[in-house]
Amino acid sequence: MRRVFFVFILLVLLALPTFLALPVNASSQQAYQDYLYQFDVYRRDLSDFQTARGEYLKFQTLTSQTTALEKTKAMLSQRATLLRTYLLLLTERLNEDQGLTTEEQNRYRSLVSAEVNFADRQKTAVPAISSIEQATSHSKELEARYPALYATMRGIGSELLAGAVVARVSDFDRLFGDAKTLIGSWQPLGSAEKQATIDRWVVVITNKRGLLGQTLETVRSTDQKIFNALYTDEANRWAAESAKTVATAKQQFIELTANLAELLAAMRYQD
Amino acid sequence: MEEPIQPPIQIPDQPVQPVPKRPFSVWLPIVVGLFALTLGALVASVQIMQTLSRAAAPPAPTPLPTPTISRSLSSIATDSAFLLLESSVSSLSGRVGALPTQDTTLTPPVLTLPLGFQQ
Repeated sequence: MRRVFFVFILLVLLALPTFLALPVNASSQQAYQDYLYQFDVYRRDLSDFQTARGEYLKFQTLTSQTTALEKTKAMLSQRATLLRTYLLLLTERLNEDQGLTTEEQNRYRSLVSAEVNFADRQKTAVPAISSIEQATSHSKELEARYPALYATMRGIGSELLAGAVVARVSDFDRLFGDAKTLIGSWQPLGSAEKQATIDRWVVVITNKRGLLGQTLETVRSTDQKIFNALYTDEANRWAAESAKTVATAKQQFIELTANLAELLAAMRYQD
Repeated sequence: MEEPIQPPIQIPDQPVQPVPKRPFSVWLPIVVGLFALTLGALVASVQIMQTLSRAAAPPAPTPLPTPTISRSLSSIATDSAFLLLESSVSSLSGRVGALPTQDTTLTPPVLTLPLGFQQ
């Protein structure tokens, strides 16, 4: 019995690295797959709804009206489910992000939570709809809320994109700090000329790091414009602008890490 | 009978025939030959001069592989903290290069909103 117990413990210990090695973003990947599935279902229900609506508007029979109402309710329910699934995907991505501050993550989670509650209320209210007029009235609730909801979703998506860059910038700052500490501990690293070269690299990198910081600030201020957009087109425009600035930040960052590698190369050799 | 005295037959002086000149057809080969000799001598001298100048130029050196410049490592090069830092910076460079500049998975769904029952 004791032997069985020890074998069991051994098997658990051997299997532990496998479980620990699972990717951190497995939750968001699963959430994304769920979202894609719900989107397929929504497209199917939307198509059925549009066909039934067309027939009702054409024939105006009781049968076509009943079918149209049935398909409308199915589509409304699935629309709420789709929204909810996408909002849960955003939540998972927020949980996995390493670049946003805790305060920012909590603020965005709170925004998403409010919209998830709204989507749940939308879905819960669908079974009680008994007429096409009621269905139209029900749909108007989402139509009124949608521009702000869309701006929130777009803004959080844009912030997550910037957060990925910010997370790596934190890594860079740590490594640059380590390099400066080593330079201070091992002085002199060679001739006076060599030391001057190293000092110049430190100045160059510091200045470029400041430039990158300014670019990231521009990204964040553009993202706030997304949140404040009144129309979906406006939100999309600001999101495209933000993505362009993120691309600029990435190029600056690539150059910055290359400069840091040059600094280390200068430190490696005496001449 | 006596024959009349014949005056002496004077043979009129024959004009002195000038020494006949050699015709041009005889000089031509000589002239041509001299010209050819001169030309040949000129060409030969030019060839010799060129050969001498080429001979004077040093031969092109045989290309050798570029020698590897050996650099002296600094005192920090073998420090474990420095080696770890180098490795970390190299890893960070790779991750920075892989940063996405857009994420289509975060694009919100496009919804068809007005039901459209009012005609």
